[in-house]
Amino acid sequence: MILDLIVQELKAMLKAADGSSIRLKRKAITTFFSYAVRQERDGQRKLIDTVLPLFRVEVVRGHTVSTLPLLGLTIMWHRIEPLIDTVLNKENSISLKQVIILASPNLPWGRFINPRHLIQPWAAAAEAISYTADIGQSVVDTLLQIAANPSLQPHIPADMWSWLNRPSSLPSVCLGRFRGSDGKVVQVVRELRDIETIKSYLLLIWSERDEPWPSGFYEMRASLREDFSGSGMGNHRQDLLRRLDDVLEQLDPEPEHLHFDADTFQRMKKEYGQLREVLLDVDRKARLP
Amino acid sequence: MIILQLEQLGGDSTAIEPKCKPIATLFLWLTRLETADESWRLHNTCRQLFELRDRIHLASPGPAVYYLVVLLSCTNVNGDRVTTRPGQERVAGVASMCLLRVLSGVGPESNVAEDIRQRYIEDIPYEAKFEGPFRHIQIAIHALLIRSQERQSFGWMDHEPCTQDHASFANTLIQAAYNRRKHGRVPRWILRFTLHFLSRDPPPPTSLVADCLTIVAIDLDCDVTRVEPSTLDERCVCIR
Repeated sequence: MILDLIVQELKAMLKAADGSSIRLKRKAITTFFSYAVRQERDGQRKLIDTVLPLFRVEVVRGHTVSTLPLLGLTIMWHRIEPLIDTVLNKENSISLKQVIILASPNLPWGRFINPRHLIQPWAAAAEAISYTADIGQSVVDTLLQIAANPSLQPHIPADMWSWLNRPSSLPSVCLGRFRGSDGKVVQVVRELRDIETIKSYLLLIWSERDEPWPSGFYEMRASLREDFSGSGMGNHRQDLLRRLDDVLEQLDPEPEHLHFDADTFQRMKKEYGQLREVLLDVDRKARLP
Repeated sequence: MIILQLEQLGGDSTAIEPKCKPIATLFLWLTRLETADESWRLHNTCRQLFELRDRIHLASPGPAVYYLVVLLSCTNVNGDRVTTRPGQERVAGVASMCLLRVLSGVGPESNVAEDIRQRYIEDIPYEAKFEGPFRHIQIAIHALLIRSQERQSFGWMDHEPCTQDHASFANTLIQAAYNRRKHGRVPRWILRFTLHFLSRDPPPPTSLVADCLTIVAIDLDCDVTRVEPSTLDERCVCIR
């Protein structure tokens, strides 16, 4: 009976898609998640299917990540680390690993006491399960969050960056895109020296929904000038230009459904406009005989 | 004679209420005679009476201060270190559980809670580090009485009470969660308790799982009274 009440309540929260309620109740939801994971291990999928969709609700509808305190966006309670550790390191169940991968963007990667030991098994789990759009989205979102943490970034297996090249998008409000736009992450991606990966990364990060970090814009301009110059890069430049045009179009006029403050909005238009100018300039120079 | 009289009272719940204070005084006296066989029989009788009384009048916890006095008399405080006096563990356990039941049944702003809090903070340090077999109960009492977010961050990683203790303690936490939710939010330390047990491997006994899920349901604003309209004290959860 208690389970019925909880499931009813969670379904109502999902139906209402009320992100603030979900955020407010994240400790209870995380606690129930831990119970649902164990039930999943015993072959009962129903409970985990009730909880997982909650993690994909837009937790702050109408707002951008950059305009809100980040703490509340990590829906999973950091106290769940021992359970995540157990599933990733000691369980062989593919379905359990899939559950953890889908939930992993909601883990507070920057706030775990010692999450380094989770990165390798997380990466192994991602490789072990079948690819779906949701899985791809979760892996990339998590990857960018881990990359944004200087103490964690060196522990990312090199192969994981190839996930950026798989067809995926990111949720409209997404910690990975916000944190992953830091200049240090741009540097790390550039150091891979793989033009497809760099392009995929930029296409994922550029969005009218969030303002990249100033250090990120600086590094992105450097990347456009240095990585995408030359006549052989024409197709890549066209793809990037299309994305920038799309973002700038979304920002003009100011989107009513987004709660930007005036300064942020103007800054974003200016920064994305500058990226476009740099790209056009690089393209002009590349066409010169 | 006292024992016989008390045992007779045990069968008549309406007779207990006016006798609470003398029983509590007797209870306090027992803390000095804990080791004697006869005193243990007396102590057991008192405990039964207290527990019976708690079930009858949970909302009017008259002898709560006596529970606290008994508990404090069994307690050694050395700096931040809070331990139970050797030989008085059983009395301390009963008194602390009785006190926790009272506190879990009242709101944080109630006169009872405030009265107990004033006396409590005179003896128990804010940064108390509890030791001993009833550490979890004392942690719960401390968290309910000390108004501080910082002191709500107790962990349960090393908590391994016996089965009997589990049932009683977890059930009391349901009461505490329910009352605190009515006045705000379920405290973090209670949710942490549920997370600790719901993610354990192997899983805890079904009754404890049920209690933990009830606490989750309370925090999610589920109407748990729909499950069992009488009281939350009774086992009222079915696991499918």
